[in-house]
Amino acid sequence: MKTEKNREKITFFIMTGILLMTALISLAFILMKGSESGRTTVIISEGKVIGRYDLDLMEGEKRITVQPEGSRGFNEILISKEGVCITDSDCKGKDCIKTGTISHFGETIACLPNRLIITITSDDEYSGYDARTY
Amino acid sequence: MDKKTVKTAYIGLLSALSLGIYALESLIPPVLPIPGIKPGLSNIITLYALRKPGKKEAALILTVRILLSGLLFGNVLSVLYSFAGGYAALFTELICDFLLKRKHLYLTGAFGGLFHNLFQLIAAFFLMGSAYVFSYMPYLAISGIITGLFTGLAAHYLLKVRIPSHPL
Repeated sequence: MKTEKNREKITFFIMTGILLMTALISLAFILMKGSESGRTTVIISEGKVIGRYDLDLMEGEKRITVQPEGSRGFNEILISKEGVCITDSDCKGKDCIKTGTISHFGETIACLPNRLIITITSDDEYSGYDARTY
Repeated sequence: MDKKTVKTAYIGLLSALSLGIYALESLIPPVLPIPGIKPGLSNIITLYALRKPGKKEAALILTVRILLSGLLFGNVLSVLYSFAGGYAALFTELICDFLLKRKHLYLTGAFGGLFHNLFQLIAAFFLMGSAYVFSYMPYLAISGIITGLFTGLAAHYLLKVRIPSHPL
């Protein structure tokens, strides 16, 4: 009887531990921000890289409208030295616009309905992909 | 009334309740601009159903809720996301409830929330074709655990309530 109660306690602590660890590791990832040079923004539409821009080499602002062939959905992207944001979209939730401007490594804007992802990586990442400038 | 009729009616009632909660929840404006962060209140019904009518009925209620909500408010994509998350949560909660010997329902709920979000991200990975969706994982993990704790506690107190002439 006693061992069974102990076993229950152990299960409880292990499971609480797993949850706490997951939460702490996640928090560490959120708070971690790397250096700020060589930031490259990669725009991925429907699983394909459609544009790469080095943020630190950007001069002025650049506006891009992404609308895949045969799709009604569009997103307007604004790229500048300060970062990348989506300024307009026809999606329902507008989560992509509400995300605001991203400028740090690893930050991502996603528009799930339009299958668009914008992220910031370092230069050497993603070089294996067949990327072309929009 | 025979038992089967009562059970069918009861499953219907819980499914309707789950759908109603889901619809109400979608009216709550998002707190953070990250796709996938929401209270997940219909998890209360899933946890409740897991204990009261049973696991088969819980799966049935979940399926009905997902299909109807997709039909009423969503599209094929949202149904796929819901299926990935909903069933991941259900199976996780089944295993956790077994491991914890039907105690500490809030822990079960937290695990359910965590795996719901994890599997929705995996679904997003396949649908979007990009691993970058996983950069949302830290945010979704924390939100899943917090909302799961809350819905687990809610289900725990709901199960304590004695409903007069409860059929099961």
